[in-house]
Amino acid sequence: MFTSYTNHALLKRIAVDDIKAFEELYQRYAGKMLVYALNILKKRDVCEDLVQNVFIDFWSKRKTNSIENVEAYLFRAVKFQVFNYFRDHKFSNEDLTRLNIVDVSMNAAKKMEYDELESTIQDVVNQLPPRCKEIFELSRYDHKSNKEIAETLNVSIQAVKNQISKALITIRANLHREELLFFFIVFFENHF
Amino acid sequence: MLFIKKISNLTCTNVFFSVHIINQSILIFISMNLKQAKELFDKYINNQCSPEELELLETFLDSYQDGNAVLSDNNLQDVKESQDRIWKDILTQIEDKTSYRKTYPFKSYLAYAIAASVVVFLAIGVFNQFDKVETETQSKIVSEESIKIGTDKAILTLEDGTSIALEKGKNYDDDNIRSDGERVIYQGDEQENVESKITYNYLTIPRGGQFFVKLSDGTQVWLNSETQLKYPVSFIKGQPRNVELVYGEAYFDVSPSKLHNGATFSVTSKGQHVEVLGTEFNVKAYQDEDLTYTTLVEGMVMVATENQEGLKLKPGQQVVLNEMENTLVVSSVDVYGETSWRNGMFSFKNLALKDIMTVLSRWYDVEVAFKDKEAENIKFNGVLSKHQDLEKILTTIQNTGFINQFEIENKKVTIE
Repeated sequence: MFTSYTNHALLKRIAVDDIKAFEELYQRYAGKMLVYALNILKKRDVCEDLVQNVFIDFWSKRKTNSIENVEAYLFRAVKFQVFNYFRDHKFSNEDLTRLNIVDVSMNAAKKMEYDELESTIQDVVNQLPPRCKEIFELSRYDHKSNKEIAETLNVSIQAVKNQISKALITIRANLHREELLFFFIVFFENHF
Repeated sequence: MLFIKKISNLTCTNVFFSVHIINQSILIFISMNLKQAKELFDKYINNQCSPEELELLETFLDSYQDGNAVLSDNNLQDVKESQDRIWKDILTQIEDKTSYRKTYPFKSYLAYAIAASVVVFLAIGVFNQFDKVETETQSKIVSEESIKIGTDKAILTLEDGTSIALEKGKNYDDDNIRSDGERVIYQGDEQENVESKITYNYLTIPRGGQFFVKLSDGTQVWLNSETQLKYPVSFIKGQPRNVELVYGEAYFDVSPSKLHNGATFSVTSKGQHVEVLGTEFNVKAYQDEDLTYTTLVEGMVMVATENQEGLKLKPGQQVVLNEMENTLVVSSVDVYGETSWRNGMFSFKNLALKDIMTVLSRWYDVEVAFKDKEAENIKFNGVLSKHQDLEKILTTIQNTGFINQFEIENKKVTIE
């Protein structure tokens, strides 16, 4: 019944306690979010918990939420969960899905604040050439696939890939602190 | 997955341990087909597993989860299951407002594990001995020319173009160069005159070879098969010391800058430049591969490419350069595994048979062909001695049951 609703319309229904609308929202994004988390951390039960936390939290704030872009919000939330998990737990290379993680040992020991790291990355992203930045943000913040981006902007998929690659290289080159590099690689480079 | 089709062809019905003692390595093979795995799981769920079976199951799961198979299309089913399970819990929490700790039934591992299978060979101190299951197929070995294990050999090319073959048993002595056939050592003082021209020598290691060179500044370099290194006969005092890894794999133990008036040391290879600050590291840049791997053992290096400034590496880290995609990716690795070639060992971690055979082909100087294409992608973990015959290694692999047989004719190996 709710499949034809826009995200905005769903949010309105959710705000008035409509669980079915909430379920529709869940069905739209939970799978992708789970896959995203699993792409970083191999522990399935932990990833399931993290996704669950996001939705439970979302429900508890349903009356006061004012979200522009639900998809981006949900992904940011799951990233935040993953990040906190890294910070609060010991883990080894074995727990990570991909080996693109710089210096696994720097986790619980260092004091990492998600917001601070995120905003520093954003500063660097803002320095990208406009087109490059646009494509990068669509890909990494809005979690659009290369195909979706290509269609929206009317360019080839290869062009999208090139821009993203360019962005990754540029951003990496501008990140000096270890934590930033770690953060960046965990959250932005785990796309296939 | 293609694998499941392969497994169902196996005729052995018993789980077996087979033990091979090969030179100084003790290897244990644990091989289980999927049917056996499923049976074990069912037993586990019904609490019917013996302690040995439990251990077997755990090892199987560990080896499985080490794979990259989390997100292939086959696992969409698992994601859907997780999704449904999470939703049920969410519903409970928002409707009843009670929270409870979730438990995940072991059954979820079943689907997870069925999708692939990884054979584990471990080199550990404890082992059991069981009867080996007879394999029905015999492998054919036809050689007129026997396959030799790799040895120390290289070709030294001097500045004037003269080539000298360096081989065990042959000595070579000239000015600053001394070789006993197994290694070559350069001596000589640094050139004082900044204006003087640098003369370069090349050391080319063929397939089936390996070599060691000590440069005039004391830097030690171990060179693997199919490798070429270009370096100055002597370095100029105070000037940066640079060598070029034209192709192949080399392990550098660099003489500290402070012993050379602060002169830095750097290694150039295809598409990258490594700045060194008194240290030990490994560079792998084979001609037939797209990726260059630089692994830092000790000290500090900075890796740079045309498009990217220095990426600093810390010990235990490896950076992979992909020239096509223009990416430099850093990760933590098992340093021993990446550099064990120097110590006479092959170390394969979750490596496809296709790639394992590439490494073996360089050391044994053979050609490899796969008749069975599916076999190319089977992944193995293992540590093997380099100082054993190729036939022994291939037999070891064959005994895991994941290849039918192999054939060696002259210097060509065919995997079936």
